[in-house]
Amino acid sequence: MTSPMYDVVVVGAGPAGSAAAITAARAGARVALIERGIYPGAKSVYGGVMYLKVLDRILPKWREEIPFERWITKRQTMVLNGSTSVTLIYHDENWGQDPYNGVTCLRSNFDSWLASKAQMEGVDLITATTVVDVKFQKEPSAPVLGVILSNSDHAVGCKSVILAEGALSLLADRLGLSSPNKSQHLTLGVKEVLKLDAATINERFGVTYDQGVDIEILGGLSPLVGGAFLYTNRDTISVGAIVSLESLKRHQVRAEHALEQIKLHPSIKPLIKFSTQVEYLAHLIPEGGWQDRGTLMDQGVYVAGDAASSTLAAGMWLEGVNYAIEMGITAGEHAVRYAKGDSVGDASRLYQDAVKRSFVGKNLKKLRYAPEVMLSEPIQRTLPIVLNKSIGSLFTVTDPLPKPGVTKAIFSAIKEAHVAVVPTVKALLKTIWSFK
Amino acid sequence: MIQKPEKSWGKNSFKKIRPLTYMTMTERLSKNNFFIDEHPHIVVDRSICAGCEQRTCISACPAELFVELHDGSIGFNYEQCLECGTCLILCSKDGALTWNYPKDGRGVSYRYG
Ligand SMILES: Cc1cc2nc3c(=O)[nH]c(=O)nc-3n(C[C@H](O)[C@H](O)[C@H](O)COP(=O)(O)OP(=O)(O)OC[C@H]3O[C@@H](n4cnc5c(N)ncnc54)[C@H](O)[C@@H]3O)c2cc1C
Ligand code: SF4
Ligand code: SF4
Repeated sequence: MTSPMYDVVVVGAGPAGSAAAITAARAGARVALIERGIYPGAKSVYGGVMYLKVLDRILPKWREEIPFERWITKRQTMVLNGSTSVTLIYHDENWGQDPYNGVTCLRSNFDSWLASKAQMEGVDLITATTVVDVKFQKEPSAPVLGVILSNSDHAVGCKSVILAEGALSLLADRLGLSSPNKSQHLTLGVKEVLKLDAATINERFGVTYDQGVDIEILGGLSPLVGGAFLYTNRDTISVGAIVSLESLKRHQVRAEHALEQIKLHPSIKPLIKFSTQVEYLAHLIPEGGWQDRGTLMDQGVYVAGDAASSTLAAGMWLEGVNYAIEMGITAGEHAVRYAKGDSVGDASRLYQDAVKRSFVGKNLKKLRYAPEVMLSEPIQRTLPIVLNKSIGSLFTVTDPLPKPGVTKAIFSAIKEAHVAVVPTVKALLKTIWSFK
Repeated sequence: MIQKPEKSWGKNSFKKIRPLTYMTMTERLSKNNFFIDEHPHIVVDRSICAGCEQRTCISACPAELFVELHDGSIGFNYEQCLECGTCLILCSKDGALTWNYPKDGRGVSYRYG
């Protein structure tokens, strides 16, 4: 072995990797953070809103420092059907002030910022370098030998590895750590960044210069199943669609056409009018959650973030960055103890239990049925029709005929959706139960 | 960008997705930053594809990089790959795709993310 020796090598400078590197370095480890992009964030794709209270633990000054776009003060859920839509809007002016709630950031800025924080803790950040394998030795007390990089045949020596490589976890797959069912629960997100001047965004969305809007969209993607989103950045808008790979395969319909369909919906089109597309992105999302976490640690190799399916994807919640950071912090702490030989007992068990006790484990476990329910037929097809038709008929004046009344409006909407009443009600109850 | 038709939303259009023609894939990808690797990071074994009926890769790749050529074989262009992995997950034949991440920072570099 020729290269320098590290205690911990972190693969991937996304939110999970950088958080892990910061924690490990603070615990006194020699850490390398290896990223395949030319800068952290070069390969990153997400929708656009982060919930960063989790950073209070490691970077308490983050609110003053992050390269943010807008603080979210309005959250909307929009349900599309045909050329109609029903929208629920929650507006909270206080979210625009400390301690804030959600924030839009661009990943190229955010990931670079977080990785720079790791560098300030003494972490060696190595970019434009892909880790292609992990090497082991026959030494039960120290099984990890190092990692192999794409641009050198030598192993970079280390005692412990943290795989924070994201949703497409090639190394975790290769080492047999991924759950065999993970690929069945992957969705594909396609997104466009649209340039629009800040003043127009403020006016269209009714916000001031540093406040923004988060719109989650259900319906409008048929025959594909999934959801869509629209978020405001300072002078760009992120609009994207997330569709299940399973439905892509079944219907042989293009994901970007589904996104186009969303962009052309009469409720969305005026919001993005006169904008220019400046980037087109695609990335996978692991939606299997807790059931798909796989083996979290084996022989000194820890898995954190999307590589361990840490994203919470359940309807109005699409939270991956905060979950990845939390899991990264936990992995960083544990990998150092392992590398220094300080773990008491079974290190794999300890990490698994710590993840379980954190909000990552608790929420993913609590909402473990939600992703499946959200992608099911009743929510994807029936709900948008029934909601739009029944609200539509309540809001349509029928003079000289008498008004339909709420029950009649709902029942005739269910009839129009060509579904049976009992299973629909059952499905709705199941949905509520899965979010209980 | 080609001018888009004004009336593009029909009553039943939610039932079936029509290919929308106003932005071609070339236009859609034209603002992206690609730092092209001289070695393809994804290699397609066309002899295996010859026996594939689903050909899911053609419609599933969000960058439209797989095409069916005149002779029925699969054509593939790695240069504008978004490195999403969809083709790898959905390909129905073992061994048809040799899939690696590009080396040395090559490939797509997102400016926004
Ligand atoms: C379309 C879409 C919308 C989303 N919307 C939201 C949202 O609004 N809010 C939210 O909180 N979350 C959202 N998410 C989820 C969020 O993006 C992820 O949960 C989060 O990025 C996971 O972080 P991570 O660090 O685990 O992985 P990633 O962010 O994927 O980072 C992995 C890093 O590892 C690098 N890497 C991979 N393999 C190697 C290798 N072999 N060698 C070196 N480097 C490697 C990659 O280049 C990358 O930088 C969204 C995701 C998508 C795809
Ligand atoms: S799905 Fe796989 S085997 Fe079939 S044509 Fe595409 S790449 Fe070839
Ligand atoms: S990785 Fe994604 S963009 Fe690249 S060829 Fe495969 S499906 Fe297409």
